[in-house]
Amino acid sequence: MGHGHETHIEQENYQFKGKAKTISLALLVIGLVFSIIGIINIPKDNHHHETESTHVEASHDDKTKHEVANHHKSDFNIHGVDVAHSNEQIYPIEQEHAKPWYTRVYMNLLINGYFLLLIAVCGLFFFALQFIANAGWATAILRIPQAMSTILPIGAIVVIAVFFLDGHNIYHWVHYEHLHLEKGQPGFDPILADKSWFLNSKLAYIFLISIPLVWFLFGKYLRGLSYQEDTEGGNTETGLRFFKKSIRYSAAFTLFFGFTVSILSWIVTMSADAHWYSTIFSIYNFATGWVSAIAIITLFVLYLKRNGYLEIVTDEHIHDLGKFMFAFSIFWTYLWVSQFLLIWYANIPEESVYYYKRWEMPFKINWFLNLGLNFLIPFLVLMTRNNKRNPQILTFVALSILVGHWNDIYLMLIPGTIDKQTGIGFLEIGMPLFFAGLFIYWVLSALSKKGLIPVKHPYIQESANHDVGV
Amino acid sequence: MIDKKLFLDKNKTVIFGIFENPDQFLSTVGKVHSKGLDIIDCYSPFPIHGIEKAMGLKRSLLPVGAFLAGLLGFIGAGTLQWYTMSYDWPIVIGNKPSFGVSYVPVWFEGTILFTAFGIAILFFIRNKMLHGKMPSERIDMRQTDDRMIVAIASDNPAIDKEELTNLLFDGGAVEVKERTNHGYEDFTDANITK
Repeated sequence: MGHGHETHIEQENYQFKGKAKTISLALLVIGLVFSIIGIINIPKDNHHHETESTHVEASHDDKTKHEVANHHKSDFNIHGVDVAHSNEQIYPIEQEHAKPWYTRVYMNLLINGYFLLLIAVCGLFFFALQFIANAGWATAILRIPQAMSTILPIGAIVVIAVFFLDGHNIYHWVHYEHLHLEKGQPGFDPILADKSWFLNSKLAYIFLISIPLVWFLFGKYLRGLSYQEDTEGGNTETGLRFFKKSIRYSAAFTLFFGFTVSILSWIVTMSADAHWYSTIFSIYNFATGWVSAIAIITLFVLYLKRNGYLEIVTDEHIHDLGKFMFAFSIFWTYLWVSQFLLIWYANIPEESVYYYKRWEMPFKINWFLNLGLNFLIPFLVLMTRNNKRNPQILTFVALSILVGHWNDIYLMLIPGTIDKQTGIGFLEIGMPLFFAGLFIYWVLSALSKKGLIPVKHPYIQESANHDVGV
Repeated sequence: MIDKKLFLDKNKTVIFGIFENPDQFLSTVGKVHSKGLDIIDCYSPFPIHGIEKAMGLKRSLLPVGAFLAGLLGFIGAGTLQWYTMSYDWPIVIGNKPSFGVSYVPVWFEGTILFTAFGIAILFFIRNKMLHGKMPSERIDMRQTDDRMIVAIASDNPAIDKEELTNLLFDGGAVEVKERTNHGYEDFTDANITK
């Protein structure tokens, strides 16, 4: 709402140099060094795991033998594995071969690549959302999610490459698919056979390649419209052409995004526990990426503000970003609890095994970290208005959210794939640092290439005069 | 507690400036406030962003009230569940511990229910919008349609009423009225011309 006065808005050009460049490059190098130390440190022989996995490999033939040997046969039996009396690995990894040492490296690439992909596409979603919601407050900061979305191809390439190079070690269903087992053969898995119409590598490749590609094309087109508006828009001849076009393409993208982000989360994360499924899983994945994307936007806004850019962005915008972080942390928790609570209450073995694994050490630590970093800190710290307007506190909470959601994705992927063959070491710390450095470098150089403010956007005045009230 | 001056009927005389344009209204209210006059309230058919700063309102304590209401809901829902499910007649469902995770949904619902109702009730109390109240605040029938009104306490003999009236008219007021209170809900309004 204009108050009859018009704010004079000047285009700003961000210079990517000095401290920011040094820090991002330092992160890249430190991350790389840590990763290499981590890779060297991985124990290269893993034969001790094979004995465990053969022990619990209970096919239909030797089931009787197994039963005789086990005096305390309980009712807690999943596919021939006595859950109650097995202190070894349980369902569903037991039938799998032990993973080679390099799978841990690929797992780390997958976690960070997937996180990067989610953040990039959620940045694009943030951009599109402002158009379809007809929202004006965020117009001044729109170039940040725009720049974030440029890194989408890197995330997608990492995920696809990991799937191509080591998918058969990471994903149980890819490995199972290569066995070509028929019904009645030992080791036949009815659940995976039922799911094979969706969980097969052909379809996975189609989705993994086509979905990020379409996202990328949408992103490229929407970014192009926004930059074109800077140079050609704002006069009587073009009118609102770019704006209206952006609304149409944003709506199309959002519709596409809603379905495809679900499909991607099924293939990349949910299928890590191939026997298990959860209907709320995809929106829970989306919430993870979305709240992280907002945390990153906040960090970039605070950084640019501190260095004297984004003159028209005031405490009001930062307050709104704080509210978003607060609200979507609760949203994430709501989905997380919804998934957990139903499974906990129903206690159906096929479902509760997912949490059974995550409730054991060492994942129990990650489990509580998850709740602490992603719910308790944002919820309790950002509750008051003053904290939402305080840059230091916002930075702290944003970093907590980012670490927390990295941990969240770690906890989604690791227990179902390489399980206890990993831990938090140099590799797990170095790889996120490397990706963070890459992300900062990439996004800041994308920001420096074009103007920092969409000066010809029809809502730029509204954004400049934004006021959230008391 | 609340400043007595901030009630229409606690002042002997009140000056109303009636406006048509929200932008002019906002800037004039700011000018009146910066002159150090007591603005009793502003009436507008729609929210005007920034008006609370212009009229020098202190931040509302409503969020604190909301927090306390939520806390009450949290404790209340917890006590109810603990007493009924765990203490008085423990009920075991599905071999689950009777105290713990299963409380979460009711905790959540109880907290937001109390917060929502608490904040709405506190809002009505704070704005004196309780049932049956307010004829005295009906200054102009169009204050709920397309007029914005600022009410200024003018009891203080130091106030130069002519200067104030001119300020309001220059700021774009379409009408200026003066109200004289005689007693409870007993008042006379008089138009002031330029």
